[in-house]
Amino acid sequence: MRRVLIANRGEIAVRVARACHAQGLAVVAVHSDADREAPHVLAADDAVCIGPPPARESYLRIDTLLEAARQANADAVHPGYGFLAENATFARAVVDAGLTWIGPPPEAIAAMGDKLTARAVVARAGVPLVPGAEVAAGDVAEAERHAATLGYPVLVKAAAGGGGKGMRAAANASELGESLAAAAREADSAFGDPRVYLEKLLERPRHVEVQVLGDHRGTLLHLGERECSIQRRHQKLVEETPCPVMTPGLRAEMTAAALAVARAVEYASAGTVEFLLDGEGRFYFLEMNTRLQVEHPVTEWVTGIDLVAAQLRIASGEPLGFAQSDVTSRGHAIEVRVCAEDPAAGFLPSAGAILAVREPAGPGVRIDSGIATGTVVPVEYDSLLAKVSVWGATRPAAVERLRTALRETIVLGPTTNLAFLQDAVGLPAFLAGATHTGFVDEHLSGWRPDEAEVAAAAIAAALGMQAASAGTAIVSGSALAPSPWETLGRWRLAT
Amino acid sequence: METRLRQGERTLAVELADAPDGASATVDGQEHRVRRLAARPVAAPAGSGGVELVLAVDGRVRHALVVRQGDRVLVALDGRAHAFALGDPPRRASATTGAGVAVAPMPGKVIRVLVSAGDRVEAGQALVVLEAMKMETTLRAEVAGTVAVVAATPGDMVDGGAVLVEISPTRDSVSGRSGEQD
Repeated sequence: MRRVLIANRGEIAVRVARACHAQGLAVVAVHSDADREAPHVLAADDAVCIGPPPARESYLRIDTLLEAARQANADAVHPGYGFLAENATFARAVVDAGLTWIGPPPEAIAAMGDKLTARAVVARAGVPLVPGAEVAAGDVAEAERHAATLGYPVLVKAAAGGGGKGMRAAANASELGESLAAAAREADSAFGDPRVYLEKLLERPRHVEVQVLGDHRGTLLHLGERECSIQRRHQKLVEETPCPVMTPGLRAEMTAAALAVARAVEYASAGTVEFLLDGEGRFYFLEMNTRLQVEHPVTEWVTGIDLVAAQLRIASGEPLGFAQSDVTSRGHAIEVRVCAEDPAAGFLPSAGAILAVREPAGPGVRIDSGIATGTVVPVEYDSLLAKVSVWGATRPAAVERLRTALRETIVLGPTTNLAFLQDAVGLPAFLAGATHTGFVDEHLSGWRPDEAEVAAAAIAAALGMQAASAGTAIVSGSALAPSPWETLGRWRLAT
Repeated sequence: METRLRQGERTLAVELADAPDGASATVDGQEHRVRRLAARPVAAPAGSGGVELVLAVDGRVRHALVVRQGDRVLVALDGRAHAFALGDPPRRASATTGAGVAVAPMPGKVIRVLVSAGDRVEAGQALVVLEAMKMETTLRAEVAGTVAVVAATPGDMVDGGAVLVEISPTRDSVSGRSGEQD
């Protein structure tokens, strides 16, 4: 393995490129016409254009991607997350083309990718499941009968789903029809598969997941859990490890269940087994993501294990090189997802040119970013722009670091959720670790930017334009008191 | 000097003025004490200019990045972004914006068109389903009435702000019930 094609874009393609370079591997980027100047292209050693902006005509085209790999002499493919990462057909096609697939066995992807098959596998492994039912396409009457048995509210979920796409809640029978149709359409659009099923919607559970890692030589271990309860539209916004309410006993049970699920599909590479945890400490299997997870950095923070580097070593056939007893966890890590969307308008996606970016820095602060000043956020893809993650010796220390890092983080251009994230992690309930999947609805519904902040920003705008129109930083005759920096006159370095 | 900054439907008037002990800023009649502590120009993409500022507003030190592009002014204040527009609000003909018009809230693709010209619609009724960044958004009628114009076809790529459906409101529909649909 010498030259890795990354079949993805955005922050994850940049992240994977870094890991490849750190191991002496060359990187081939692929990009659509909309991403010619994107940071992931600039991070690579070679780049191939794979088509027009719509993902179906570029990032989701297996034939074009394989042709790009051939053309650029790549000998391995990393899928990132999203797009084709959990597409078993793609994984098989990569292997059949004589390339190394940097991911789990195609059979494991297929078994877990179909959520209905996954539920059957997990039930056989003796792991508890969220109560649910299959529904035949278009059979609203049957769906209504199942939903009545499960009890409302229910979730309509895509059988081929993941990442919150193709998922709709229905609070009662009258909402079920539209939810079924919308979920099926979204699933068809995102995954090319309109099948859906029903799950009972648990009240205020926590979302807790276990990172697993296995090689092709029989080693399979876990890297602890992550809690990802703070979500909007069933997509995670804030993720952390450890889970604030985890106990040694619960962790032992949950990680054992995760390993049982992974073992049942002979898993290798990095994967995540997701659970819902209720208020009584009972947990239920939700799904297994057979890929690198968006929120993998928090696990890397506390374990010191580079998950992408591990994926690369595993794919090249090397042993993992450490055992379960070697995995230790230190301190606390939290990540937030910076997305181009408007939290004051139902998290409506936003797109357009990035006019300014400022990244946070300092001890215990990491940013994984797919944007840069002057680049454009296209309308065709996911709204995730970047991830800010922090580490602290304790949870309160990590929260304080995160709050500071977010005050330093600037994205100007499209509307982003940065102010909303500041407010979310600023809540006393967040500091208390009282998180659940209804956290946003409970604490932040109807969110608007703070009025005092708007007034202060308006003052800064007026002041900024005044300074800019004067052409220099020093505004002579300014209505505003100059700072000492401005009254010192020219500086000269003593040499 | 007064600066008028628009944000959505509202306009903020900011007046910067000298004061014996520094300066003051009045925002919509509310006075704030302001001190500018530092400022420097920053590079910004073509067609825009930026200034990084450290200022104190009512005694609290704030870090700001102000970028202007055309008549847009974007401010990051301690990491929180605020978008303003300069000048007076565009003159609006009530026929093209308002309660009887469904406007694409962002650039995207039309997935479904659920009404035709001449249809009677209720307030809250779904009109058009748009997809942008892989998420579906349903545009709903804000008023009851008759569909006058449908300017969307499934598969169309539309710009943010594009008028997709126009409704001639039923008289007294403003007082009609809403929120009964779902």
